[in-house]
Amino acid sequence: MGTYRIEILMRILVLLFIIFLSLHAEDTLLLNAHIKMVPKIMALDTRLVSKESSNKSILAIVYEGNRKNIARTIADEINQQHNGKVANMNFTTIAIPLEELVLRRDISFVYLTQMSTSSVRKIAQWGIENTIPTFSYNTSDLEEGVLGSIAIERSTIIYINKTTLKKGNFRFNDTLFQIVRLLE
Amino acid sequence: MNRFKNARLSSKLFITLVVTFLIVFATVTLVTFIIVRDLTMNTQKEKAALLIDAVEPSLSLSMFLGIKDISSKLSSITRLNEVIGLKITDIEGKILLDYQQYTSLSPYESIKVSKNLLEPSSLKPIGSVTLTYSGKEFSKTMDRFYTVYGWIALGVFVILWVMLIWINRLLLPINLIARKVRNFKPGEKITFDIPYSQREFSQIIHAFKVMQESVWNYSQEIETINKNLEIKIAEQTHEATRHLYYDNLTTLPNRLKLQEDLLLKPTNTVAILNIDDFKEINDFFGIDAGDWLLSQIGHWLVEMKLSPYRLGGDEFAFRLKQGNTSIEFRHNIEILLALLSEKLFMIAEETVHVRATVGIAIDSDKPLIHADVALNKARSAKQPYSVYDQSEGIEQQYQANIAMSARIRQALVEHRIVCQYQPIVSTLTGKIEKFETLVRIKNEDDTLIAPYDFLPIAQKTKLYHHITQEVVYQACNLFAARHEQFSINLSGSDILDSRTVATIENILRQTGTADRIIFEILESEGIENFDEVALFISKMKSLGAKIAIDDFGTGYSNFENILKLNVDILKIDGSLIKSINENPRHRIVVEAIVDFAHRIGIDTVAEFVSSEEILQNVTDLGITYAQGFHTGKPQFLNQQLM
Repeated sequence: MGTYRIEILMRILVLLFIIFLSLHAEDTLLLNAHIKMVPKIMALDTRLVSKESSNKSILAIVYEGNRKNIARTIADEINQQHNGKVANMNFTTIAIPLEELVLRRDISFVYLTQMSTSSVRKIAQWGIENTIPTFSYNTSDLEEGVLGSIAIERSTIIYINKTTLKKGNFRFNDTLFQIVRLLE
Repeated sequence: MNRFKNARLSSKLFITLVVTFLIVFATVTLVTFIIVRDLTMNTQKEKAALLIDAVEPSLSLSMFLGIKDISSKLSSITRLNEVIGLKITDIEGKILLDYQQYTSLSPYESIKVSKNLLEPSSLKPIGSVTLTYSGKEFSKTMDRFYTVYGWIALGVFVILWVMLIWINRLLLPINLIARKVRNFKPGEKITFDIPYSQREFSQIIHAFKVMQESVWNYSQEIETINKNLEIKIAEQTHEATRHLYYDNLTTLPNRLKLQEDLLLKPTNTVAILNIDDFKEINDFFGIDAGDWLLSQIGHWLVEMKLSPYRLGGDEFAFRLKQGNTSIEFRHNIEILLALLSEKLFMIAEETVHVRATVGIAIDSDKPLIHADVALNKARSAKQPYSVYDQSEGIEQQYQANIAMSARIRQALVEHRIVCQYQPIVSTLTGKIEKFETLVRIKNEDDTLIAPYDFLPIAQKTKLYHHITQEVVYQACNLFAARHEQFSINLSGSDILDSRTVATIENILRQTGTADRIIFEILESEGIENFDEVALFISKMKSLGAKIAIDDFGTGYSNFENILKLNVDILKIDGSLIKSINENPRHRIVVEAIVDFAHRIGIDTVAEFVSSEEILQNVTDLGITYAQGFHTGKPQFLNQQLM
């Protein structure tokens, strides 16, 4: 009973923290949509099984500099909301700094928090080279080579970088392409 | 069903065609309707399914990704007029979208298609989409179908109507032929004028013409045969008439012709001529000679211009001119008979005289019967002719005889033939030793009919034997319980009738009265049928019976016969006995009889002993028994001894 109260209290604190952060950095509504949708888009990656090194896929929330807490909060929220499973796919979400990311080979999907353009470009290039889908919080990052992003306009829109898609030889469930908006 | 069987050929053809057309048309229409309906419906469903298929992946993915704004994904189909409803629910049944387009279509004109929405990667159901598609296109298609088939039906109806007219026209020659043939009569010739001709009708007409010629030929033949038959029938009729109305032997008209001729007038005068002793001529010269004689007599009667008829046997008849008096008739007949007796007829080179007896009925309504009565009367009276006289009552006597015959028959059936017994007394002792059985008919009122009233008639109607058997039965059964002797009269015909004799023998054996019975027989019977009577006497005497000769002394009175017949008693005729006191001749005859009887050792019985004087006389003469009213009247006896 005590654990349950602590858990609720923690969730309230996280939410307050996210609200706090959103006032300074990310849009809470958008971030919430990303938390819900990113793991599901990862589940649509048809090559994911072949890239897996263990039973669980790894969704990496990449951060730069002092934004570790935000990344960890996002990772925790994804883990909590999806409970490590989307459709038939088991996965785990981890927060990981840029430097560590490029060294690892077990990452299945990458989600970029706000970071510098050079870092974005670096991760995007790394993703293309290793055929690891990269989704970013900022839609503008697609111009730096990131594979995709989710925007909330009149309706929720998934953007996919067509060039990156071709370069990185990414494979997604065909239905995904029926609702995404491809950008050159 | 019978109505259809009897219907005209054109009607049958038309009905068959209509029924066949209707069945085929209905079947084709139904099958086409089902195919078109199902095809149209499936097409519409496939269209709806295609629409769903078009949006289903993005819809599934949107739901999977949790994109709530899915209506924008569906705008491509919801803007279509045919889509009148779209409903999306999640796996828990929660309605995510319920799009309804305003429409005036009724529910049954819409088509609903549902499909499950699947998670893109795991293909697990995550919801369902139901699309309501407009049935307007379906209805339009079906309306077009109905219109097309309406026109087709109208076309079929027109075709059938034309076909009916065509069939009627096609079969018109049959009606014409039938009408002609219906009025056909043998001997006539029909010409067939047919407006147009098919080969079949030409064949029928040809067949009719051939048949017509055959019938005509046959009718000619039949007509010829008929004429020949008519001639033959006329000949046969003439021959039959001749056989019917004319006598073959004499070629004279016969009795039937006479009867028919007599019917032309209410009364007629007729004479019947019977050849006397013609049987003797037949017996003497032979039947052929007799026939030849009859032929000559007939010819002679024709020569006498009497227009004779042959009635049969030796009888001829002729009609006499009416209006003459009885005396004139008698005179004419006397002349005729005189001429006949003088006429010589030839038989085998022998000349024969013929005599005849004539009976005449003058102005009679039953001339044949009355002439026959007169003839019988003339023959009985041994006169050459007799004229019927109604006042003599002969015809009434015949009627009485017929009535008596019926009464005898009735009495036999009702057991009203009864017997009385007259005592026969011994002249020596004065005691009754025998009885003579005398038969009577008892009327319904218990009065009695005497034997002389019915026995002669019974003899002629062959009832006599039955009466004899009844008398023997009654007498034997009565005297079986008594000790006297009894006598029964038998006629010659009784003795000649083997059945009666056999019955008598049986009764005698059954009753045990053979040694006391006496059969009384007339002497004349013994003479006329000597052998049969002698045999009967022998047979009866062997049983123990006695034989008496009845009424002895008036007939032949031949003593030799008495000896031959071996009789036991002579019953002296009553006519001798009753006048024995007055007539010495009778006394002499009686004395001779008694003497003869004594000599040969047989008894005598005197009949008609009606007084003490006669009794004394017969006793004095030595007659052993007396019988008469004086010694005892006929009486009924019972089985108790007197």
